[in-house]
This record gives sequence, C-alpha cells and structure tokens, in this order.
Amino acid sequence: MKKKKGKGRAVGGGKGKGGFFSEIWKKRTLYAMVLPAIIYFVLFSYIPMCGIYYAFINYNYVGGLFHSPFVGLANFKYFFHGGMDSPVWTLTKNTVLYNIVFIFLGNALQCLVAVLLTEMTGKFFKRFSQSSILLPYFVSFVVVGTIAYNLFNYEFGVVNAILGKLGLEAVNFYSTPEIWPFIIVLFHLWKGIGYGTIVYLAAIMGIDREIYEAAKIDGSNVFKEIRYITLPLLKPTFIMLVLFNLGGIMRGQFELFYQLVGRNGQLFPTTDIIDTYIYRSLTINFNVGVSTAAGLYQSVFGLVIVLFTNHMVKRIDPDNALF
Amino acid sequence: MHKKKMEPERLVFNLIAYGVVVVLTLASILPFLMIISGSLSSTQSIMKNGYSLWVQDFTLDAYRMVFRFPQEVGRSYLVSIFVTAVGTVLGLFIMTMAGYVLQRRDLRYSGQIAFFFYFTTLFSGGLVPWYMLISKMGLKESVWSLVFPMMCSPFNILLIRNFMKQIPESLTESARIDGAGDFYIFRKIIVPLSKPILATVGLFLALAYWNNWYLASLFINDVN
Repeated sequence: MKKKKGKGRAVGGGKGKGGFFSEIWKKRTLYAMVLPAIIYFVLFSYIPMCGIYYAFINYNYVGGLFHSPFVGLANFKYFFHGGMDSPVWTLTKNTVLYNIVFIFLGNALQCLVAVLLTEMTGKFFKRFSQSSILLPYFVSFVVVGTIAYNLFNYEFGVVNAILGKLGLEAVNFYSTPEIWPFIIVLFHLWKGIGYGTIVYLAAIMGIDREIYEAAKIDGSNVFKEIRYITLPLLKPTFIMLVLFNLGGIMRGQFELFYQLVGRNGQLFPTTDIIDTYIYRSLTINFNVGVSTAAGLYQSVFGLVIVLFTNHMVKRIDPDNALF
Repeated sequence: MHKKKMEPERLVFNLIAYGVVVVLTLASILPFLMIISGSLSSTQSIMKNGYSLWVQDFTLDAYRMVFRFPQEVGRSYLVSIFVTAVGTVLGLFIMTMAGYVLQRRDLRYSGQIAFFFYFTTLFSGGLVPWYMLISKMGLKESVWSLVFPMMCSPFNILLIRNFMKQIPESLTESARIDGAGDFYIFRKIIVPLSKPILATVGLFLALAYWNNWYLASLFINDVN
C-alpha cells in the first residue's frame, strides 16, 4: 500500500537521513495537519527574523530597502550612547524591574489569596468574591486607561476630589513620574490577581484532603495547616510559574503601559519600557533602524536570560527546568 | 461526618481572610460602578464635582451621543464580532490540528516541530520587521490584519497537546485497526474528547481578539 510519490527512491533510502521522505509520506495526513501551523510561524515569526537586517541600515523611505545605505552599528551606537543616561539603561532598568516586581509580588499575592479563599468559611461570599476578583481580567486595557483617567485626573479625578474634601491639596498625577511605578504595579496586580488565583486554587485542589485530616487529629489549627502543609506543597507550582514568567522578563506588557501613560513624555523616565519605546520610534518617529536595533537588543538579551536562568535551574533542581 | 467546631484560631483567620478578600472584591467592583455612574451623569456635574461613585444629575445624553450615528458604532461592533469569530475559529482549527499531531507518539519529528514552535517564544525579529512584513503582504488597512497576526500561539498549542496526551492511546489504536484514517480519528474521536481544552483555549483566544487594540492602532489608519 506504500506508493511512492514519484521520488523514485527505495523505501529505506531518503535524502541524507535515511527514511526522511518515507516517514513524511507514511504519515502524510498528520504532517499535512500540522502544516498550516508551521506555515503560520514561518510567515509571522521566522521571516520577520530576517528583518533584523533593518537594524544595520539607515532606512530610506523613498528608495525602500534596497536603496538604504548600510551603516553598520550606527543605530546601536545611538541607542547605547550616553552611558547612564542612554535610552538603553533607563529602558532596561524599567523593563526588568517592573517585570521582577510583577512576577514575584504577583505570584505571592495570588498564592496568598488562593490559600485564604480555600480556607475561608462562608460559601456564598467565597463564590461571589472569586467572581468579582476575576472580573478585571476581562477588561481591555483601553478601559483600564479610562479608569485611571477617571481616578487621577487633576480636575475631575476621584482621588483629587477626595483629597479636596479632606482639605488636602490636589496632586497632578500625570506630571509626577515618581508615583507611577506604584500605580502601574497596582493596576497590573488588580488585573492579574483573579486569573492567577485560579491557577493556585487548582493546585490546592490537587492536595490530598487526608493530609489535613491527619494534621487535625494531631491537633493543628488553620495557621499551622497553611504553614506546614499548603504552602510547602504549593512551592513547585510557585517556582514553575515564576520561572516560566522570568523567561519573558525583557518583554513588557505593552498595552498596560501604553494605555496608562500614552505619550506623556514627562512620565517616561520611570515608566518607559523597551516595548513602548520601540512602538513610539516606529509609529511617531518613523525611525526604522533604531527601533529594529532596540528590538534586536531585546530579543538577544531576553534569549540570553532565558538560557542562563534555565541553566542555573538545571544545576539546582533539574526537574523544574524548562528544557 | 464531623461538625466543624469554630476554634479561636479560625476566627482570627477568618478575620484576616475576610479583610483581604473584601478589600480585593471592592477594588474589583468599584471602578466599574464608577464608570457606569460616570456614563449616566451629566457633563456639567462631572466638571463641577469630578467623577464619583454615585450618579449625579441623571441623564442619558452620553448614550444618546454614542448612538447618534448608529452606523459607525454598529459597524465597529460588526468588525469586532467578525474578527473575534473568524479569528477564534480559524486559530482553534489550526492549533488543534497542530496539538494533535504533536502529541502523537509515533511521529518521528514531533519533538523538532514542537521546538520549532517554542523557539518563537524565545527569540523574535522584533516589532519592526513584523510590521514591515504584514504591510508588504498587503494586509494594511484590511480586516485580515486584525485576524492573522494573532491566530496561533505556541503556548496554546502546547496546552492543547498536553491535554490530548491524556487521551488513552488505545482509542486511536483500535480505531486505526478498524481502518480509520488519521483525520477521521481526529475529527470523530479526539476533538469531541477535547472539548474542555478547546473551550478554554477558544475562550482566551476570543477574549484576546475582542480586547485587542494594538493591532488596530498599528495597521488601521483609514476610517473606512
């Protein structure tokens, strides 16, 4: 039943690695089924990788790609110049710091809330609060930006109105860069807690109830149960989630930052991350070379971090490594 | 069936737990209330007193304005609905097939293909080349630029694959012995059994499409 498609080779033979074509032909339906996905990624992920070339040229809009002069590392020089003041330093610092806070604080809070929710008494309220906390996750960042505007607006914002009633001076949030790290972290947590809590809840469900029964017989109370049973058993999940998220440390949550901060230049020193910088370089400044250079920096650095983190984890606890 | 005695520690715990959870719940609901009441308040009252939780000076003017040109609002909704529906269906279709193929143990190159997908999460060409490619493909200003770039994600493919791994291989084996082809097995056996993961992935894909603003801001500049 094995009809060769006209390659004219023996069943055992193939191009180089023996049997490559026969394997494909034998399972052709399966390979055909995965083909659309492969084509998709070749188109949208692998071909753009070739576009890294843009980082090394000075893009000429009139002539297009083939008339743009090769400028070597000039774009990178622009990006890296200025030492501590350079875009690179501020952006990397912001991106990495925000991500570290998001990852650790986020996971810790989600874990905590999950534990609280499981051990809480009061079924109806539990369900109600779980659903409400999940609600912000479904909201788009555009709405989040609007909520922020409602809250922090200098003239009409809710926060300033309350401050006014208390007799305090109104704060111009949109001109004060120092506050925004807290605001951004707050909104990120607000949005993500519902979803993350569910993941931890699922992990807690997987813990055998008998352990708790045994502990109760030995006379434990709620706090002891949490400290000695629940939390240690959640450690693998916590580590796995943290590691998984660390891999994306160079990538930011573009929408979160862009919708909250927009083009407000005053806030950039504390809120600009690599993604928003690239976006602006492209859409506002049309600086193709620099934004590609920044993007390349982001990708390479990110890859290095993932490989490094995975290597370190393999040394410490091989089971938890990603690959 | 033991009765739950309320130990004093549990009371303390409940106090703490309720404290935290109530704060979180309020924080989650209040902003929405604020927006709803803001939309129902008159502009003058907002300018005078700022946004607040309660409706001031109830009026439907804001809603009237939004719906004054129903064609525009209607069309935007239609676009959103179209993009979400088409994108989710297409994406699910492609990704489920990929997930199924990847979980087959008898496929020699499944590991390599899986890495091929996974690698795109580690390294990418960046925003600019991706943008250039999509523009050159002629998708700019077209509704498809809102559909294609988001259709497949390696994470979802891996999710689907891991779920399908739980389906006993004996089912596929016996179907094969009965002479079923691979796609037939996929269609009639695996897919119905995978409904939970398909629903989950489908839901998140649809949500991502519905909330997506990024793609539109990049590729759509012409109002038509």
